[in-house]
Parts: sequence; structure tokens; C-alpha cells
Amino acid sequence: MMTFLAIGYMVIWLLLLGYTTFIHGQQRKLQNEVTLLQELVDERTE
Amino acid sequence: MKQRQVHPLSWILAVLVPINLYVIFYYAPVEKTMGIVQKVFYFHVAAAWIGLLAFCVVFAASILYLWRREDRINHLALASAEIGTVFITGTLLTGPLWAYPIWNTWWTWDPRLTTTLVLWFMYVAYMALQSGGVTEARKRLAAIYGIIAFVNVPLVFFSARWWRSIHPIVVTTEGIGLTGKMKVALFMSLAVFSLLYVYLVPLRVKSIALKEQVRQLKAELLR
Repeated sequence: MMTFLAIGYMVIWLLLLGYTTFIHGQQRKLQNEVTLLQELVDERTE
Repeated sequence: MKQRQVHPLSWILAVLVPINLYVIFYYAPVEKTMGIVQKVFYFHVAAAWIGLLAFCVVFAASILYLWRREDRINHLALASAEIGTVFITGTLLTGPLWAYPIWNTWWTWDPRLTTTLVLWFMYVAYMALQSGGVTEARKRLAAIYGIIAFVNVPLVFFSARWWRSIHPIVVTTEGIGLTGKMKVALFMSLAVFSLLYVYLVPLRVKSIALKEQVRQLKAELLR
């Protein structure tokens, strides 16, 4: 039972790690999108 | 090649989380009446603490937004609401894991449980209010809602004290009903979760700000 609970806790922490990894990934994607869109806007104004 | 920077807090958390797990499972003694199922308590309470703390931040940021009307304050409120909801979800999921062997039921409409569930729904609604293309008026409305929704936070905390509840109250005016080693495990869990919150909030604020920037640039291109 103790092992099950310990594994359960680890799973929860892994889920939280997954959540932070997801945020990091999403942030990278958004950063790239901002750079691309900014370039397009700059091209248009030129 | 561009090198990715790793936040110092993520290193601290990477060290503290396994230590915290060790303290919970091997350092803190097994509770005599409930047995090892009591170990759920260390996650349950810490997650609830972060949930309530996050909603206090939403409340403060909402007041500040109405006063200053700065987007970054609105982003902080939204980020905190999201993280608070994630942790309250953890509280609502771990509660039944403890309740079933102790109360012989997964769920009961106890004041503490009911107010917590209502709290969860209220902040899900808050996030829905802030989703999609958010106008100034929507942001103001969300800030007012963030202030009103906060009323439920003290209700959750005091519900087990004010009304007839079967939910255990560990922290009372007479002290904390735990042994020394259990207190160490609890306070360490609270500290680790608080650090996690401090780590997650700026991360989410940045994501929200970037999303907003993308939306504005797209609108500019379509003009």
C-alpha cells in the first residue's frame, strides 16, 4: 500500500512536470509566432 | 546555437521534491488510526493552500487592475486563477482518495467539500470569462467577478468551523494536531508547493502576454 501511495505521489509530480513542460513548449511556440508576425507587420509597413 | 536558460527555481524544486517525498513516506510516522492513507493529507492540504493563496492573488490583482488598468495585472490575475484551479482540482481529487477508506464514501455534501467544489466552478467560470478575444469591458467585468468570487475563499476555510462538518480540522486556535515529524512533513510540503507556485506564475503570465501579443499582431495584419 505504501508503495502504491508513493507511486501515486510520483505520478502527480510527473503530471505537474508535464504541465510545466507544456507551458514551456507553448511559450516557445508563441515566441516564434510573435517573431514571425512581427516580421510580417514590419514588411507591410515598409 | 541559442542555449535554453533553466530557471534556478526549477533546480531547487528538482532537489526538494524527492526530499519532500522521502520526508512524507519515510520520515513522518504512519498515523495510528488512519494508517498510511493519512499520507494523502500532505498533498491535499498543500494543494488547497496554494489554491486559496492563488485566489487571494486574483482578488488583489483584480482590485489593482480596476485601479491601474494595466494589462500585466490582468495577466497576473488570470495566471493565478489558472494555477489555483489546477491545485484545487488536485485537492478535490485527493480528498476522495482519503475519504473512501475513512468515511466509507468518495464524496459527501459536507460544507467544506461543497464550498470547495463551488469555488472550483467559480474560478472555471472566471477563466471562461477571460478566454478568447478579451475586450477592455470584459477585463473590467472579470476583475469585478474576481473580487466577488473571492467571498468563497474565507467561506471554504471557515466552513468546517462554522457549520456542522465531518471534515477534519488540523489547525485550531490550540495549535496543530500533528506530531513533530508530521509537522516537518506538512511544512515542507507547504514550502515546496509555495515554491512551485512562485515558479509557475511568471511562466503563465509570460504565456498569456505572448498570446495577447499574437492576437494584437494578427488584428494589425488583418486591418
